[in-house]
Amino acid sequence: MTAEELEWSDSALAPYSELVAGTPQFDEVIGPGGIRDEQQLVSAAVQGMGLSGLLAARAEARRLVDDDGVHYGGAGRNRPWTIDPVPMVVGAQEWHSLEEGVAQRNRVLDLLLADIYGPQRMLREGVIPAEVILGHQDFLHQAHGVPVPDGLHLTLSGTDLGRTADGAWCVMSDRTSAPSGAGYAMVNRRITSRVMADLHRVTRLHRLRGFFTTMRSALHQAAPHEDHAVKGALLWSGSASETAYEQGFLASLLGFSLVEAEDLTVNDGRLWIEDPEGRSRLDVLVRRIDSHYADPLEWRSDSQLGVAGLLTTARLGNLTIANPLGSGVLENPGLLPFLPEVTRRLLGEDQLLPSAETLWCGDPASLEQVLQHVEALVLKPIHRGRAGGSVPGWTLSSSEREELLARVRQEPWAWVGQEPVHTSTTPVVTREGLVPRRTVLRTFGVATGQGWAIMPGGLARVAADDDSFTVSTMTGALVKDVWVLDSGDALPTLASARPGPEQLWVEGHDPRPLPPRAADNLYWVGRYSERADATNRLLVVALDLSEDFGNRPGTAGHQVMHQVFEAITALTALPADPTVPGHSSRQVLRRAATDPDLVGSLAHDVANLHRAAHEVPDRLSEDVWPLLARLQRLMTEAEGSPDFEEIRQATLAFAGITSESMVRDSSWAFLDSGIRLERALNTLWFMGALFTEDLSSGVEGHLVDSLARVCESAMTHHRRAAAGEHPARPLHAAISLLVLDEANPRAVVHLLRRFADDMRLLGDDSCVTAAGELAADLRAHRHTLFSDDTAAALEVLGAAEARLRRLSDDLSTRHFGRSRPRMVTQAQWVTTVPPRPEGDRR
Amino acid sequence: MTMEQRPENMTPRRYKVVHRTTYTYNQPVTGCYERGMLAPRPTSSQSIVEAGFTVEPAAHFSHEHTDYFGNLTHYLEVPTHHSTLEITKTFLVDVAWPEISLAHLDQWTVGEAADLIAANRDMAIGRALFLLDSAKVASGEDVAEYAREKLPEDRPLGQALTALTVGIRDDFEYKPGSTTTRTTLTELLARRQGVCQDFAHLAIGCLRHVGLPAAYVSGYIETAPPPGKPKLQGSDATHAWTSVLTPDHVWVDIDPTNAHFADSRYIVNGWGRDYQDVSPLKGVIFTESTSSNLTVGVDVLRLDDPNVPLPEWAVEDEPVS
Repeated sequence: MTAEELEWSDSALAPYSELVAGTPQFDEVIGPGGIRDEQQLVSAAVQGMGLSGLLAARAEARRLVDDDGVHYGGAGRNRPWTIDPVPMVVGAQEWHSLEEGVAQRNRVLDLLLADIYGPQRMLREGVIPAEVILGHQDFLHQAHGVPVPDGLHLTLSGTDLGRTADGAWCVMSDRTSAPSGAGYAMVNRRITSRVMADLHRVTRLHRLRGFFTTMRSALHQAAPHEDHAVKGALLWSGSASETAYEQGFLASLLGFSLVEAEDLTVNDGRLWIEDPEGRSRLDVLVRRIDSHYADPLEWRSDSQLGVAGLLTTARLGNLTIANPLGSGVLENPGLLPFLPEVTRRLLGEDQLLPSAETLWCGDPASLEQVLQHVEALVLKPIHRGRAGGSVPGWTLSSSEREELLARVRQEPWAWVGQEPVHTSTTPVVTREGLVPRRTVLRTFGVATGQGWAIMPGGLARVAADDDSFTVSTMTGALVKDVWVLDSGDALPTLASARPGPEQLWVEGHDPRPLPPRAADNLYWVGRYSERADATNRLLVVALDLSEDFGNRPGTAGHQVMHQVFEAITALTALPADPTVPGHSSRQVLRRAATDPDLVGSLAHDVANLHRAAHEVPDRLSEDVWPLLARLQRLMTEAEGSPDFEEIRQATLAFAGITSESMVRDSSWAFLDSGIRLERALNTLWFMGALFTEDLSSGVEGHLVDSLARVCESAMTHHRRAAAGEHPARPLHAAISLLVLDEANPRAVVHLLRRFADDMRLLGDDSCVTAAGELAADLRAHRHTLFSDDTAAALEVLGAAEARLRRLSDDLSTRHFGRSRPRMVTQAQWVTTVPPRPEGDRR
Repeated sequence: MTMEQRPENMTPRRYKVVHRTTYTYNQPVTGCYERGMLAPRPTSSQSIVEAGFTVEPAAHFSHEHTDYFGNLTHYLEVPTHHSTLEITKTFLVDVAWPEISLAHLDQWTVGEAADLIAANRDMAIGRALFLLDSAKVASGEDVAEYAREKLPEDRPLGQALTALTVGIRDDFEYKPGSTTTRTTLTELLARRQGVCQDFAHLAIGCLRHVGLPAAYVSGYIETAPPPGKPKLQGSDATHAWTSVLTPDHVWVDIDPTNAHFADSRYIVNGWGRDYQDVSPLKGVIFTESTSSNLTVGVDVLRLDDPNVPLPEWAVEDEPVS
């Protein structure tokens, strides 16, 4: 045995090649003669890493996914985005022909879409049976005749490809409504290039970012031509949607505002986005919601996701929607048998890339074939979402088969029978070693004035287990990065050949309009991040007090502890009486820290912070996500008592990122104003909650020490106390330090000044004035505040707190004004008069 | 049992139609968007002399286009605050319907007609469009059963259409309020009560079941006041009936509410696969209001008959024509 052979047999690939030997499918890595040529580099790396190295890479990928907050699946059914570290490699030559095939297909689909919503020649001439189109739920007759600029109907596409046993690629389905995955492909690249850093460094492969530059410039060029800077937005399906993460990520990559229906209004047949500086007109809208939901005036009137009048803005040529409303009609397996002829008719070319063999049941001969071979076919309705979805015939019992076939016979035009594509396998890292799994490749295209640009890469989805036929991220599939090798020839993508749009990001200024909903969420990101920090510090102080004085009733410390726990129960509505079973100080602390359902708890603050941040993924620095993930982890992993110090580190880091990394624009102003206002409120609230009139000076002094710790001013407090710079009475010292000290960033008047600065940035003079007046009033009341009349002093502080809350309400009303409630009315065509015509009653 | 058109109802004539829709809300509306069919389409049975509409408060923006079915459809934006919205549509139309020959229709049986239509490529789009189930007309065993009774495959087409049209009139009671726009054909067949749109939908369902493409037609007819009573303003009716495709590519309009073929008293507004395609007016409004009140008044006035003077209330604003 040579050294080389020895190494090979030890490596992870040796057992893998045994696993794939003799299987009918094509394997992407191992060919009949061993490792395929273009797979050599990756294979060598895989062998070098060994199984332990690969498992480490897999774990690292998982950690990065977590840290970056990458998620898939809607609220409550989040699935981990699981990246297999071994990339799928496609050689330059092969990619070139694949790319050509996909581009040709997209060209045909574009022309076909134009035909469907235009002259319908393909139906008229019988090239496509009319039922295939007119019976499809995404053929939206309301969208017929809507013009598109430069004749680009389809702008974005996704194509699902599988490689058959003979090594040829075939298209399994098309994604033309609101194709998803391009953003996830970018995520996969970002993470895979880190966990496979050595290999990534030495491999010549095409980069992905250029594709997004091309997409951005294509979208800009697709805008209706007018003499103003093009404004685009991405209409997302909301933070609870399955692909929310990607949508936010994509909006950021494109430099588009991430918007929801309530951020938008149609006026004068144009689409406008609300902005604190006044509404601005949108030219391009990337649509990530289903057409049926996009315009309640035309389609589902119960949709809260859509904008009334949206279709009309497109019809008037005032807005480019990518993809156009109704483009989902092409997500239609009923089209597949007819596409070769459509390609000849519309392009005068032969189809380069075949589709999976498909029989349309509307054709009697095909129906007969399907009925006869049902156990060898996959039965699919022509539109997604129709009850049942696609059904592999071989999985059916005979009664199920009969039931299904009865449905097919009832509406044969609505069904196809498709030959199953036993797609190629790729190696997946498992604890038992590399195993072969079926793989589907999704490629992404964008239409430009010069043709289709195809992302040089894609999203490889790998079946969740060995015998799974269906590959879908919905059923827990893994994903892989796709590496397209660079042969060194000129880049085939159009990105490099075309000038990009004007630099979108003018230094220091985010040109994207900031809708009220986004502003609102940023403000609450600020407030909850600060609140989490404050709650955390309060709990730490409470914990220390209970450890030191819990068993020492009668001491000043014990009374202070009692006051602090009173404050916690006031904050969380937990019962105050520690003698009640289940409410020992330890238990109260635990719940106040970790119970996410308890309003006022630290876990609740963190959850709300998380929620608010996920509403504005396009507005926050990417450094925020690892911190949020860490916070979340610290909360969920906390059994009994969370690691308060770790949490403090995370909230401090969060504050650091927002203050050090965010450009001083309106996004930042809203976030920062939330922080300042929350902090001032907390200080005032703590003082009101902790102090009462009848405290002995010993207790008061101790209490002020605790308060200074809660308000992160303990150092200054002690220094000043030592230097005798403080007023003699502890409460007065606290007021001096935490309320009136202009120089203390934790003092109320200082925070009001910072808040006013934020409001000035937003041009909100009214809030600037209100904040200034409140600070001035506090100063004007210094005699009361420093008098011996504790009740009067606390009243001044309480009044200030109330005014601050009103200020927050004013700010909300003015800037976060939300959409008005909506109602749909429909005139009845029915009258109460019997429509007996004149002349009948004789 | 006959549906023959009477000669006196076939003379060409001119009508003025006024259709007023008023919404009243219990709270102010801060803005609204409307989509409606505010002008009739020209057809082989009618030409539009003039047509217009008014909106109160005024629409700040409006747009008209011809939809996929050839109907005129209108988009309105009313950003003005209001608690009453009134949309008044007025048009003059000259009507002259072709005569229907039952003998001509009887040359085909129902089955033959369906086969001929299926085989004719020129009709492929119309056939698919008007033969497949639509939002308000779903196929089902109950509809099929009713269809088999009225439209057996071997019955001559003219007779079959008569049986269906007269049959629905006889089998169902015209009863306003017995159904809503959401009533299904199954519910209708169980209750045997309904209004014109239900009967039109049922006829469509039956025709489609036997392979005959069928459309929903919305429009107006002139009505007579009760004997001895004057005609009151707003007392005419909107109406709906059914149109069926025949093998020579002619659409034949049948009215199952009144057991007629359409004649010169029938004014078409638009057509589609069912009610949903020709909804007269649909709005998205922004309001705290929880309810809206709708009143509809229709006047269909014949202008060309010197023997029938216009009602007094209608004379004043009679347009010069």
